[in-house]
Amino acid sequence: MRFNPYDDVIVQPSTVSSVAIQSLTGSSAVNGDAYDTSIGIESIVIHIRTEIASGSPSAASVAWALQECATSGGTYTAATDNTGTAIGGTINTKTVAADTFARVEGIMLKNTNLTASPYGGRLRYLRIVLTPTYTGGTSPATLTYAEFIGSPGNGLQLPVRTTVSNT
Amino acid sequence: MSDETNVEAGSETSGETAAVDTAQVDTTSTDTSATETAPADTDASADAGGAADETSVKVGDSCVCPDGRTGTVHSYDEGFVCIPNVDQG
Repeated sequence: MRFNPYDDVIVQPSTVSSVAIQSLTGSSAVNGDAYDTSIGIESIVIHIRTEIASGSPSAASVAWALQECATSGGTYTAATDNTGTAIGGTINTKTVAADTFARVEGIMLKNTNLTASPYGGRLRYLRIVLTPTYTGGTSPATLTYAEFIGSPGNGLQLPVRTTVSNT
Repeated sequence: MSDETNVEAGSETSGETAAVDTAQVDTTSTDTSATETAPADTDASADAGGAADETSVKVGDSCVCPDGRTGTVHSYDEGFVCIPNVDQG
C-alpha cells in the first residue's frame, strides 16, 4: 500500500470560535477550540505559523502551549512531556515570521486512573493556546495560525477512556 | 522539515527559521507532571504542568522547567505554567 497525503494525513486547523487565523493583541492567553482526537489518530504534529508583529514593538513574542482535557468543556491542563515539562515554547515575532513544529505522541493513551506519574500519553481533547507578549509599540498585533496534522492509525478507533472497563 | 532536531528518543521539534523554538515535546510514554518547577528568581515553585502553588509567582517571572531549560511563567485557565524560552543562553 502506498501512503499519500490525501488518504493518510488528517489536517485540523486550531480555531478560536471557528476562526483559524488570529490577530493576537494585548497579553492574554487565547484558547483554541477543543480538538477531539478520538477519531483514530495515532500521532500528531503541531504546526504554528507566526507572522512579524505589527505596531513596531521593541520586543515581541508568542508563547504556545498544548493543553489537554478528558472532556470537551472541562478544565484544560498543560500537556506535559516525559520530563514533566509543559509542551510549548516561545516564538520570537519581532523580526521574522516563523513556522514551529512539535511532535505529539501517545494520542488518547493517558492513563487517567493513575494519581501519580507516569501517566502515559495524552487525554482525548487537545487545544493550542497562544499568548502574545509585547514591549512598547503602537497597538502591536501578531497574525498567527496553528493546526494539528495527524496520521491515522490502522483504522480502528481507540477506546474512549472511562472509569469503567473497556472490555 | 529539513532542519529537524531530535531531542531524545521519540521526541523532536523542528523549525524552518532561526527564530523557531526548540522545545522538547516528547509525549510518547511517561509523564512526570508532579515534578516541581522552581522560578529562578523567586522562592516560589510551580508545577510544570499545573497551577502555581505560591502566591509570589507572577506572569513574566523566570522559571526553570523540569528538563532544565529556562522558561517564563504564563497564566492559563489552570493557573501558572512554566513555558520554555526560545533563548536558552
